Amino acid sequence: MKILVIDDKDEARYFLEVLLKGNGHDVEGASNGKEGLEVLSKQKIDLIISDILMPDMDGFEFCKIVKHHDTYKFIPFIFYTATYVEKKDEEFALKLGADIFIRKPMDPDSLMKLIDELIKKIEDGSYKPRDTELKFEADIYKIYNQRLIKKLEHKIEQLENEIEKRTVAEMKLRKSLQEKEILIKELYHRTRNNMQVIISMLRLYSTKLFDQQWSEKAIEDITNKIQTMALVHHKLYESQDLSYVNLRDYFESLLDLLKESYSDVIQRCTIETDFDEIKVLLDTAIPLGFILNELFTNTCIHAFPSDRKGRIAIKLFKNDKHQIVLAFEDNGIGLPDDFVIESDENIGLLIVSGMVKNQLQGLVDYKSEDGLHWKVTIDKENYSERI
Amino acid sequence: MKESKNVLIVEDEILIALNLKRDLERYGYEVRDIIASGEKAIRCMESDCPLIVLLDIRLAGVMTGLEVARKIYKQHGRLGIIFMTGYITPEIKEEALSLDPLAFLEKPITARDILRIIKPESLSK
Repeated sequence: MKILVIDDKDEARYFLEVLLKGNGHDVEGASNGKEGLEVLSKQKIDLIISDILMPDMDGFEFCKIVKHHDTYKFIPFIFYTATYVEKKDEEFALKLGADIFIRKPMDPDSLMKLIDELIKKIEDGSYKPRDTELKFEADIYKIYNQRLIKKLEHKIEQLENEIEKRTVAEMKLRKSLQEKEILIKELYHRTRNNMQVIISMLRLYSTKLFDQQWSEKAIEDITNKIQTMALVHHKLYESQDLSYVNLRDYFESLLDLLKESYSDVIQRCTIETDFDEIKVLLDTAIPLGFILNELFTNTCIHAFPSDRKGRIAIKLFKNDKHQIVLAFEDNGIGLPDDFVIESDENIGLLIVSGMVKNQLQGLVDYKSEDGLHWKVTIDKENYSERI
Repeated sequence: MKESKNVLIVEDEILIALNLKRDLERYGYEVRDIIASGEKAIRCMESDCPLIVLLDIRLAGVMTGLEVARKIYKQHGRLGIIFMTGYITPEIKEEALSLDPLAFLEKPITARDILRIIKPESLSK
């Protein structure tokens, strides 16, 4: 049996072609009504399966011509449609003389069953073409126009929905792009600033760098400070949050790093840590990291001379006034009596003091009694969110 | 208003500020203070106006360096402001330059960059 399949969508045509050929039929394809008529004029077709919504000549128009043609009108006609699916569409299709009206999608077995039933009738001669109930062009076009307008309205609605979806998507994209632009500016700023901090550190330590006794320590110290900064950026990147840093996580990683640097002292010490989960802005996290670095370094270098064993306890928590507190204690030898925190002799502690007072607008307290006890208290974040 | 021959550093990154302070002092300048926020800087200048203000644009607190500059110009008339920032967008640079500062320096900078502007002859020392 030779079947003509008309559909403007290649994949839909291909689907039917495979299905019908698989069932032992020959298939001719056309992508609209006009092409369908050309096929009909050239060869004998036993069955037509046609889509409705197609360019140039749609399925309704094609069916009307076929069913008014002296010879084509005897060819059985099936509509297979995804867009004209309303009851009125079906009624119109049948009135035009079509035999079966099938809505897409239909599973291949059921579809083939319907087609087979019709083929059987054709083969055993019991098939009778249905009469076209619409004899007058005017009647046909009246319904045809109604169906077409209905379809257009539906299509317009679909398009409007589509436009709305795309508008929302576009807005999201714009926002994301804007965020990325801000991010690039911010990263550029951070890079420059970090370079400036590194230069500043090198210059602050410049006298020590040329002092044989201190140069190695100074380089270690600077390296650790650079690592402290690098680590905070790593933490930000890891958490996918480019503004806030989890201090507990940051401090734990930072301590691991510092322990490696001072492993000789650390072997002789127990270290107790108790860090609360506190999230702060990058601008607050960096100085706090520097402070922890400095206090830890200071303890490792000065607190436990000549194989003295010891204990270090570090706590990070929020007190009942919602202030962030970093408490750092050791049971080492404590401070000399003439100790002054802000002296040029100890650049590290000078930086700590400056960071707490200026950068964080907080308080730094220390007590030298049974070791050394530091307490850094910061009120609230002194910065606002940048990204 | 008493004018003194000194420098005020308004910079929230203490490492940067400390380094500038040291280097400027090495060249004979008196660095009056290091201040991290714009609000504090304005308060600090109420009674005594420095000769030069080294002013970062992004600061701790709410105010930006640009807002600080506008406010101190209003209070003290024109005085030597040197902007120093790593946060350089064309808009910020344009806005900063429209305030007619002594200079707009892009980080990273050193004290030499500042001396080149305020006292070029001291560099040959």
